[in-house]
Amino acid sequence: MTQKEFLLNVLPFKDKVYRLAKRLLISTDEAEDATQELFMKLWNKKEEISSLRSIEAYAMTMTKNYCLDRLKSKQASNLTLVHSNYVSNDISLDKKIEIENSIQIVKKLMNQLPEQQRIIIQLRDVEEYDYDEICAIVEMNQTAVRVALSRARKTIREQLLKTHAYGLG
Amino acid sequence: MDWGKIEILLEKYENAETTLAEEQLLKSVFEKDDIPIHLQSYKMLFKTYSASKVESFKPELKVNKTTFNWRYLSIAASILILFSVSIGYQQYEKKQKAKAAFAETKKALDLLSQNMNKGNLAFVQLKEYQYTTDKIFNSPK
Repeated sequence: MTQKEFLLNVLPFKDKVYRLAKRLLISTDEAEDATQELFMKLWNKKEEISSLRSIEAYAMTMTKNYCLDRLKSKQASNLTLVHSNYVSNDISLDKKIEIENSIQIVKKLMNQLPEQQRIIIQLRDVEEYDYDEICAIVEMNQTAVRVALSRARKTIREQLLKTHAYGLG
Repeated sequence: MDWGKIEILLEKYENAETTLAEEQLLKSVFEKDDIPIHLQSYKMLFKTYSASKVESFKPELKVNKTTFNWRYLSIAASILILFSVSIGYQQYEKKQKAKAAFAETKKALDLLSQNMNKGNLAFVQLKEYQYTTDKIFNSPK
């Protein structure tokens, strides 16, 4: 595979890789580094991956495993995670702040989920993958994926209702 | 808007039983502004999911570190070869000139030695003459 072919195959899902990395690692810098690193790895494996049925699913699995490894080593070295700000398009300032706040709240709730659920909710609700693809990426069967997803959705919903009742009204 | 239907769909959604199309429908329904108060929190939820999908990876991907090194290396190597060839050619030219000069000198020296030998021959004859005269004039002694 030449560099051109590689980029053609790989560029369409670079944002998905980045977003999954960010969902797991939370910090923007970390996620960017991870994405860079992952694509270097993919480039080095370019001969192997050219025969794969879905390079994207393979890349997403790699992302998942890589980020989980990073999280493990981070827990050991006890580093803190940093939130970064979300940039939205132009709406009036009040509304913008309100929306941004609520988005931050939901994001925070997502990030409080266990890692496995976080991955699945990212893949399903944000990236809109179908169940077969998700199963391939997380290496689980469909029932397990659905159970985890349902749990994640319910948790977020409950937490959201709580914050709504206390804070925003 | 039939909110009863939406609520049934939401329940299916929470049980992870909805299809992708149904989930997309939910997302688009909650884009709107006139949402019953008890469903407001879903608006936040789906809004976040759609907003999360537009985030993109800003820096340029760097995958071609090694190939670039090779390219620069080959340019450097070809320049080096060019230089060494031109220097080598100059050296060769110099050597050829020296060889030619050597041949020329040798020729001249050869000529000299040939003429020298001619002179030598004359000396030999002279010596013979001397010898004979000595023989004649000194023999009675």
